[in-house]
Amino acid sequence: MIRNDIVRVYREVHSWVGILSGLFLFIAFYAGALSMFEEEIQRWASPPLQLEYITPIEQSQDLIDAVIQKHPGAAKNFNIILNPSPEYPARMHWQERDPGADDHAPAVNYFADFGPNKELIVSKEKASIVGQLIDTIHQQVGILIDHELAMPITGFVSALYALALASGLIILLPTLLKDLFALRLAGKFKRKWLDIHNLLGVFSFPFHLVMALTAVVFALHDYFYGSQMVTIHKDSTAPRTGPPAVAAPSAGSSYYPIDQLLKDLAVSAPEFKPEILNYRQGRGEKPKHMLFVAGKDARHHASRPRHGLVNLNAFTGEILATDYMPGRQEALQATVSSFFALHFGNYGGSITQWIYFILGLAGAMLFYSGNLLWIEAKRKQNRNKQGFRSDKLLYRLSIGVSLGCIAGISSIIAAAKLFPTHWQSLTSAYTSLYYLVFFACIAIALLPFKRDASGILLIVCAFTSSLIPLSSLLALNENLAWNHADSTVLVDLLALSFALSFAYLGFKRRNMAT
Amino acid sequence: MSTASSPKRFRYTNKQWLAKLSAAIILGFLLTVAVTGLLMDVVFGPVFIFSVQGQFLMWSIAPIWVLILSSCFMFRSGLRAWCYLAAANLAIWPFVWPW
Repeated sequence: MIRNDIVRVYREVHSWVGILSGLFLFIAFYAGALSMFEEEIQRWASPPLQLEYITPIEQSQDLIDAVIQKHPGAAKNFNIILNPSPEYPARMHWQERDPGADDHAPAVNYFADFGPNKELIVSKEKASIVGQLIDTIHQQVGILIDHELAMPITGFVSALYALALASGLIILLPTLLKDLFALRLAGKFKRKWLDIHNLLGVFSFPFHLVMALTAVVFALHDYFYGSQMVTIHKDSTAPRTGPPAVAAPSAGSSYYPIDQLLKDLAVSAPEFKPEILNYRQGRGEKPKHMLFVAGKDARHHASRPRHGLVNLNAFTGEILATDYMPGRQEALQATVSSFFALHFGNYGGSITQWIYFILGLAGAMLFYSGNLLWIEAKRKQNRNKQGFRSDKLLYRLSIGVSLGCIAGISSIIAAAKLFPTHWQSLTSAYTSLYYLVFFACIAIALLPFKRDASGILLIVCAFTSSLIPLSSLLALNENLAWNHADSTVLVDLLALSFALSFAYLGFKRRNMAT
Repeated sequence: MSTASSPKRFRYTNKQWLAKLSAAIILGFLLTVAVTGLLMDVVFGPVFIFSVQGQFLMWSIAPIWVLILSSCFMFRSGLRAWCYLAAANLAIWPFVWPW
């Protein structure tokens, strides 16, 4: 039995770390849940391909030579895309920074192919950036500043989140069995939300524990490595390891033919489905070359968000290392990879994808209900207080931030089809739109009306979400937008169901108030 | 008057939360790095920082540090938190520091 003074200590800890991190975590979880469908959103948001201009795989070497001759910077690191898609709309892809741009400026994506008369066509950034932007909102808990600056904030929020989990478990333990299945929905406001909060918290506890610990590492790994480097790894004489690299057999040798390489790989690793060939080249007189093949294996967890990697010799096609290859890792490597996989949910195929999506939305709900409970407790304390009321401010802020985040994300997805063409690849246009909607919602929520703004903001969420399927309807006229006749219809259907749910809740809320 | 046979029971509060939490953040982090060093010496031997073993050691910082952060409120006072965590650091660092 846990002493009740200890329970009281942890109840205070829980409510303070909860209120400090709750709104950031709501944004992180809502955006994170949507990013389970990042590939679908990305394809939905990108215009379809002119497939007649994709270079045949047998001519890849000619394409590589032609590109490097005109754009020498590409040689350092480029991709050969095996199955071009709206996301990677060409055979060859690489990134470059604009000359004079500083190190933190986002790199520009370049895509290259041969035209009908084998002339080189290079285009900048055709794929939509919406999928990546949602991922960034997730990683940076909604704070769209420079990545290096945002990561310590995410680390701080993640640490509070871990602390909230530990303290939440301690305060619930003494009454766990009694309270867990008591879902007293009919009872008082506080009882209902407390039961929902406990139920969500207990049943998704393992998920949240994994998310909190991995998020701490993702956000702070530079600092963790740094502090180990100057202490326990100081003056380390341990042999350096890294992905194997090979020098070219002679200056100007061609890479191993890619069509042959794929045939070899299909024999040596039949379950591994290659998608992208990433070629890298070191510096110096005789630069070393590396070739990573990124691909998927449905039977195993992957080591990176969407792919596993196998390291090949770029000139002979032989396998050099399988450290990051799904199903071919050694135990410790597989363990480390599983930390990534457990966060990204990239194991077990689409069932896991859906479970993570639902757990992510449930997580957002957990933090929202936590905020409501804090506010309710404060409201009771402040009942007779005149003037400034922290509970009222926080209630309005909670509504504004969470519904503003939902409306903002829906708007930027819809904007991928609704923006004028020359805005569609402009990161700043999307960022501005997100912040415009987000802060407008917060401003509306903070307006000093007697009735809170949740009703009207839910309608705003419903409207912005409905713009997603509506923008797809524009494609009835081919000049206005596009539709891919494939699984991306999922994006429209999900957005439609979100819009209907928000509209239902919004009108119910307004009727209740009148 | 309380005697040795019936001592007044100590009751935990959050009065010194800042002292306890700052001890867990600063000394707790140093202790965590020391524990990963101990883990390296005992289990792996010297390894390259970005090797698989090195990655594992970096990952193990998160659970250990979070454990210290969440248990620091069980120190009876802020002073005790700083003293105990300092003592734990002094006990482990001489063994793991690469002299």
